[in-house]
Amino acid sequence: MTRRVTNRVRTETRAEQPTRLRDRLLAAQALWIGVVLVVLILVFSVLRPGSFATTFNFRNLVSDTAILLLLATGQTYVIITAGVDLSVGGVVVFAAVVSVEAMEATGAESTASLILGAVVAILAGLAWGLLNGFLVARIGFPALISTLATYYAYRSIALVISDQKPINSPAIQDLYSLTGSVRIPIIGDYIPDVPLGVFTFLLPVLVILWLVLDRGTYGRRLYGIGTNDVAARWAGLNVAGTRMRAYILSGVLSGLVAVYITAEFASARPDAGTSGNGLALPAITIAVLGGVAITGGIGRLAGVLLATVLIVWLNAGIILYFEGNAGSQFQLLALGVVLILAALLNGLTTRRYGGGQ
Amino acid sequence: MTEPLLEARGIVKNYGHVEALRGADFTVRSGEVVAMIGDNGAGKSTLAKILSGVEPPDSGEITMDGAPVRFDSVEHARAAGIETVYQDLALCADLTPAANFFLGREILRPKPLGWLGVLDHRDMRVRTRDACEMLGIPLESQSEPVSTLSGGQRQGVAVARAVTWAQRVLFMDEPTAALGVVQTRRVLDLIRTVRDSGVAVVFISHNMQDVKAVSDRIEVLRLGRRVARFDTVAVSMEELVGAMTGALGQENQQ
Repeated sequence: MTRRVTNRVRTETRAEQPTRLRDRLLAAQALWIGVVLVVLILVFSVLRPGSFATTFNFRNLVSDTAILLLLATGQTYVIITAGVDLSVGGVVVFAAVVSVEAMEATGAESTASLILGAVVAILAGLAWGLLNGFLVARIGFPALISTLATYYAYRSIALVISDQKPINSPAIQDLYSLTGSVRIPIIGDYIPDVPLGVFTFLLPVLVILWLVLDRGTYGRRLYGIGTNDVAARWAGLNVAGTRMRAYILSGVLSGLVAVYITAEFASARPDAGTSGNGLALPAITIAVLGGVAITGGIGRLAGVLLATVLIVWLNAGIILYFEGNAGSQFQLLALGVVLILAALLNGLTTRRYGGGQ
Repeated sequence: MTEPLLEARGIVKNYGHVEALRGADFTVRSGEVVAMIGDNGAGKSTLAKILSGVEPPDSGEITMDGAPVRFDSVEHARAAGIETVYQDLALCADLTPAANFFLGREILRPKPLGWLGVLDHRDMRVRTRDACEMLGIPLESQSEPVSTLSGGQRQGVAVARAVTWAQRVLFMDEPTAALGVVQTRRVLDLIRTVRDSGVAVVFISHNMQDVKAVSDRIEVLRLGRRVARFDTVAVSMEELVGAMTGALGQENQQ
């Protein structure tokens, strides 16, 4: 039967009209985020002239963006399967702690020791991602409960291993070239130097993950199981395996974040990923703000990228504007307001155009 | 009479305390349309799911070309050339028709990119459109998700998908339930075309008109067992209804 279709006259390869309604809507959301972002930067620049574009500030922004973007990307993969990964904070802390332990055990003085530390962090992330995926995809526990439980477990194990103290090791920071800055050619005179890690580390990872999600077979199947996993099973997909790999990826990305945090701060704090706002909830917030449907099946990385930048600049702007402690308290309010607005926008576009769930 | 292509013997399937199938038999031969009929709860859909690998039977034997087979998953049944159109559609609402059409067997780009698993969207769209147009289902847009299509168009996409991929047996569980008159006729025509190309079709339906119109043989299930087999040309509506409701005796024809 395949033959018959294949043999059909394919001369009429009339140009496929890319009238992607959903794409346009998502693009619209991305557009809105972009507009809000520009307004935000202008407002803060007016309120606190000069301070917003300083090198120190820019460097922090890039660092925060890298961390949140990696985690939000992992979260995007997981949420597209109609799941969620609350354990990322725990995984990051655990991976950072065992990574630094491994480096110190091998002297923390050579490149080999450094690479070992990075590998250990990524393997730790992989292992915990595997456990999350096993619980959710193979056994079928609800993602919310499974990853909340493993979050407590990973965090607790990290506290035990590190004896509850931050592990500091200035030697490690010297070893990492990851966070050193480079001047971008041509436009480098007009913007601050960008940390090297953005080019050697963040961009390649993001490009690969974008290709996998948007252009490849695995991404297609991920959307399939997220929108209707019964149909996906009936279409012969390995639903459990596909879903499990999303959790493994989230774990591996958490491991990468642990490497980045260790390089940046030269220490592994057992409470790094769990104190304050934690890491999981901001990552989920960013994914949802970026247009990923919490019910699964919908979402693209372009929106998530813009949402990450928006959230990071919003947070930074608030900290700059308010003196003292008030800033971090207002951050949460802003996060909540932005999230509600994003949900409202999603709801409006869905209702208006009758797509989606 | 030719050798059975796909045969089920003594299939038992329980869901908890519910006995869906209690030793059901079923036979399909190459190049024929068999209608599987029965009242609600007779076990038609359950049997179709077992024979297409969605669910394993509790006991019983399935043979294909005379050799025993086990379908542990849908992939196994698909590899054996069995495709199914499910009653409840089984499309992914947020994906485009082409994405649904090729779900699980996506076409990759020619070599260098194909090695990286890059999809050939254009080829998949063209083939999907061609297959759907053959069924008389024009797809206005290839890029909107299936959720924006009407029920009939969705059913059409599901039917076109199964027809395209079936090599040996095509199960159609209520394929005309959501369709209008014209589209129903097209599906029935298509069933005949599929049969003439050598693929066996199992047509599960409540609509006796459609059954009489398209099938060569009719097998009747009742309370989880096969209770009667008929040649379509030689059976009356009364006999069919009698077999379905139990007014008529047990399996005795042929």
